[in-house]
Amino acid sequence: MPVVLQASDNQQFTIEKAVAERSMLLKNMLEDVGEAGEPIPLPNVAGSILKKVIEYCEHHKEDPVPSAEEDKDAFESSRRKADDIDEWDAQFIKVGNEELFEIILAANYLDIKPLLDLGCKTVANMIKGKTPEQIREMFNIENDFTPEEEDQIRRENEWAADA
Amino acid sequence: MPPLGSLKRKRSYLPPEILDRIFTLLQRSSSNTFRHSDEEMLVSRKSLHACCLVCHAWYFSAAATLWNHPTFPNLDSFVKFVATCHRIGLDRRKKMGQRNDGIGETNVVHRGSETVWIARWGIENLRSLHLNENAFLPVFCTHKHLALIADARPELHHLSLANCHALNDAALSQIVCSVAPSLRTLDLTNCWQVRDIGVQMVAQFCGPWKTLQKLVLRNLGLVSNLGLAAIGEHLAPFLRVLDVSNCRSISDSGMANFLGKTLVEEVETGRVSGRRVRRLGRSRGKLLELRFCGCRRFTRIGFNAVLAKALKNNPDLHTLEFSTPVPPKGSPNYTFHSFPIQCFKTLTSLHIHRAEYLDDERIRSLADNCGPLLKEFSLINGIYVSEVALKYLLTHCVRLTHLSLKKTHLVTDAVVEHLTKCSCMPHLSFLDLSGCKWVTDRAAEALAKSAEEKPSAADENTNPFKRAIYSSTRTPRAASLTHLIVVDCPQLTLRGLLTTIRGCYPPAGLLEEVHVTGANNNMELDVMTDIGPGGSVSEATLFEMVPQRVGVNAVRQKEPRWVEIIKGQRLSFLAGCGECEINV
Repeated sequence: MPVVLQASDNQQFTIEKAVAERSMLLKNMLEDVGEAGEPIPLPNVAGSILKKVIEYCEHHKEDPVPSAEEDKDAFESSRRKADDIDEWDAQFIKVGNEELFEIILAANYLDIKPLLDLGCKTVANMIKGKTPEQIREMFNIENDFTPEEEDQIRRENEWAADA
Repeated sequence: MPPLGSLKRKRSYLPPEILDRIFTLLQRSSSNTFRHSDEEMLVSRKSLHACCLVCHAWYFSAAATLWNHPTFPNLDSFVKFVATCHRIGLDRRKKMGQRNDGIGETNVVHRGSETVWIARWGIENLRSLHLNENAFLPVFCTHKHLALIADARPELHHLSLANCHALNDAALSQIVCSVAPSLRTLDLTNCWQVRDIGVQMVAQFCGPWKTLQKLVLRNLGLVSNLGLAAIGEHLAPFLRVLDVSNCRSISDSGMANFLGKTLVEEVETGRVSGRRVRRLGRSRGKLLELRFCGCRRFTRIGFNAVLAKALKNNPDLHTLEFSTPVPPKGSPNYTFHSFPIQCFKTLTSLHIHRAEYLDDERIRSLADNCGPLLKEFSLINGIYVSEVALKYLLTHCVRLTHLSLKKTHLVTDAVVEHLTKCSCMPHLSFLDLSGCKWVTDRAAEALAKSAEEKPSAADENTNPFKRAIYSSTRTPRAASLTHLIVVDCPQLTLRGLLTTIRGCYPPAGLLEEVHVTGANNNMELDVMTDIGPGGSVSEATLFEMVPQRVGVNAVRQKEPRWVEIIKGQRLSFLAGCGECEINV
């Protein structure tokens, strides 16, 4: 039974139930309301982003669902993974910063933990080794600190600054 | 009203919960990699520090992650951290209108301006402080450092002062007094100077808040029944974990008194003929873990009574660590015939020290009664347990993840080979064979082989015998061994050991740490030089060959020194208090 998703810009996507169930939000929704056949509105996700998310879910539809135990001890499970990001995922997530942020927000809204982790890991890797100015420039963030605040923060976190 | 999707978001906006996730991943990325190095940790910390200075939203998430569990790769970093705590403490006192001499003059209480609040954000998020993560920090840390940290009044949940040998009762009471309202775990392992009075103060400070759940007093030789009585008085009803191992003066009567205090009467509410009534329900303790090995004043009768009481009062107790009590003076019964095996039926973690008083019959009975449930098992100094009994035990412990057979002399190659074929092997992550004199390279090879053996798909389908074996374990036979301890195994050579390391090393296995300190004379650095390509071995080659941490003894007994490759980065020769690097 296919599931129809409607993005914020009224674009509709018809996908398999197994693909939709990668999202915990949709899985719970389908379990609760059954298969009514009507499109499911996703007002927080734009069509272009939803398309990317569906592409990810389709590629990973065969993956085992992470167990509750793994969730509980996320640190342990992450330690045991030999590699952080696999090749297909790395190619998939090679997008512009704004699109990357939108994908992360959509993964958070749709509750797709592996995609959320992929996005967050990518951002974490991008941040690594950068200065505050470089980070601001990369993600187009405005510096909203006053000089006094910046000075205080520098002083307070001085212990972590050395490398 | 416009649809939600059309609401314009600020560019590059991420909500705090996602920022938290990103920064947590950034912090963990250093420990995520298999061979993490100090440099990587420093880069992660520096990056987090940079994130603090990006904007307000990033600051609140990044500083919270940075301060939640601070790590100190060098002393300078710790000194700066203490200085920050000191500044915050001074500032707090100034704001409270107090004089530095501590006499309150609380006439005006200023509300902090925003900048002050921002400066306090980090310390507000300090939850764990572990001073034992580095070898040098516990030695360096004095009571003055602790006093300055205490002055900032952090809301600590977890405090570990393990190995801080200089810690005395006064310093302990100062820091605990400051953090008691929120403290959940306190680890004082190896703080030898702490006495009963210190423990009594900890109990009195933490008692009223009812938050302390884990108290570790391991190796505090000066703590006796008096300290334990105070713990019973103030902390027993809500304590989940208590470790008083090697507090030698604690006796069976002291422990029995403590266990008597663990009982809490539960209040049940119900309705009797339409009226709400409250009545006292059955009493039960909350203790989950109790460790008291090395307490020498336990008699055999008292020991049995303590165990019976512990398990009766605390039905959820799952971990026990103890030493088998010595026989009464002049008693002909060397073996502990009345060892209360029936008590252990519900345990999942059992650690028996001084097992020389247990014979084959006790071990077999233990295997029959508790084997199937046990996940962690230690049998230390079981010198009279035979090879056959050990094999029987290993066969029955199907769920083991942690196995220690330290100084159990009859652990031979045959026993290790048997272990690799047991059902527990696929999930065994910790194996301690230290002091097992008969373990040779054959055992090491068997361990390496166990990682290689995986049932092929064809075997699984066609071979009913193999299918039967693997169906019981569900997972393919692959070593999940992460820690291997082979300290003092004189028959084991470096070649054998490297076979194991290569076999159990990723991608075949998950080996992370090997301890070899105290191995035989053959295992010298000269031998190590033969291993690498071209007869010599460079640091880089070592880094490739060995996991995170391998300790190798240079010359046993002649030189009380030890050699260690710290995180594969360099070979350090640690002798006494000095440290010098040597080139291989």
